[in-house]
Amino acid sequence: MKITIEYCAVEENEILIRCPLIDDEILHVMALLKSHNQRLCVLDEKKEMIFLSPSEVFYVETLEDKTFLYVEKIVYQVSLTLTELTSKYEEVGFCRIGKSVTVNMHQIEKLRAMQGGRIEITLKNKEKLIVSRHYAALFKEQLGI
Amino acid sequence: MKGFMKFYQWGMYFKLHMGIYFVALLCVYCVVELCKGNFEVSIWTMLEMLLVMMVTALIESYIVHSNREYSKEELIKRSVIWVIFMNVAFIASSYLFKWFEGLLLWHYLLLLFVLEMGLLAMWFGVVFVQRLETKSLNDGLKKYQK
Repeated sequence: MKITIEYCAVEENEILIRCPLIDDEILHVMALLKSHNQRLCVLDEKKEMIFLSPSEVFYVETLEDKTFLYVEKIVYQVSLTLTELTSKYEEVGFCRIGKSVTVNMHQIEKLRAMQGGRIEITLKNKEKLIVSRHYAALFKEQLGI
Repeated sequence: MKGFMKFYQWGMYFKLHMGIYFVALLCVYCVVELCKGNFEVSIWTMLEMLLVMMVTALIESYIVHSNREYSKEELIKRSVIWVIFMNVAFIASSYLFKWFEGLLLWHYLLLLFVLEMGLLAMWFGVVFVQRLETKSLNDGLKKYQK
C-alpha cells in the first residue's frame, strides 16, 4: 500500500483512501483510524474518569462481574462487559482467549505452544496469559493459521 | 491461587506422561506374555508398573518439561539426560521386577529397539512438535501485527 502525505492549508486534517475495492487491508486501516478516534471511558483507582485509546489496552479481564482493563502497569475499571468490548474492538485486535479474558493482539510480544492445545502469550510488558484449549482454535483463526 | 494452579498443571502433566508410559509398558508386556502362551496379567505386576512409571514421570517432569522454555544448548543437554534416565528407568525396573524374564537375546534387542522408538516418538511429541507449532504461531502473529 502506498502512503502519501500532502501538506496543504486545510481547516481540518483529512484522510482520503483511494482503492478499487474495500478489501481486508482497507478494512484494517479503517479500523485503526476508527480506534484512534474512539475513546474508552474508564475509571482509575480513585474512581476518576479517564479516556483511553483501545490500542493502549494490553488485555481485559472479568473478575466478580466487574471488567478491568490492563494498560501496561495500570489497571482500570470499565462499565462495558467483556463480550461487548471484544465485539466492539475486534477489528482493532481484541480477541477472546478465555472465559474471562480478552487480549489485544497488537500488545503480544511472543507466543508459545503448550501441551494440551493451550497457548502461552507473553505480552510486551512481560506479563503472561494462557489461551485456553477451547479458545485456541478461534485465536489461531484470528492469526490466519 | 497461582501456586495451586501451577501445581495442578504440573500434576496434570506428569499424570498424563505416567499414563502413556504405563499403557505402553503394559501393552508390550501383554504381547510378550501372549507370545509365551500366557493369557493373564497379575494385578501386582500392573501395580508395580504403575508405581514405577509414576516415579519415572515425576522425575522426568523435572528433567524436561514441554511447558518450560529452554535455550538450544539447555534443550540438548536436558534431552541427553532424559534419554539416559528413561533408558535406565525402563531397563533397570524391568530387570528388578522381572517383567521380561526368560527371553532370548534377540528378544531383548527387539524390546530395546521398541523402547528407543517409543522414546523417540515421545521426544518428538514433547519437544519437536511444540517447537514447530510455536514457530508457526509466531510467524502468524508477525503477519497479523504488520
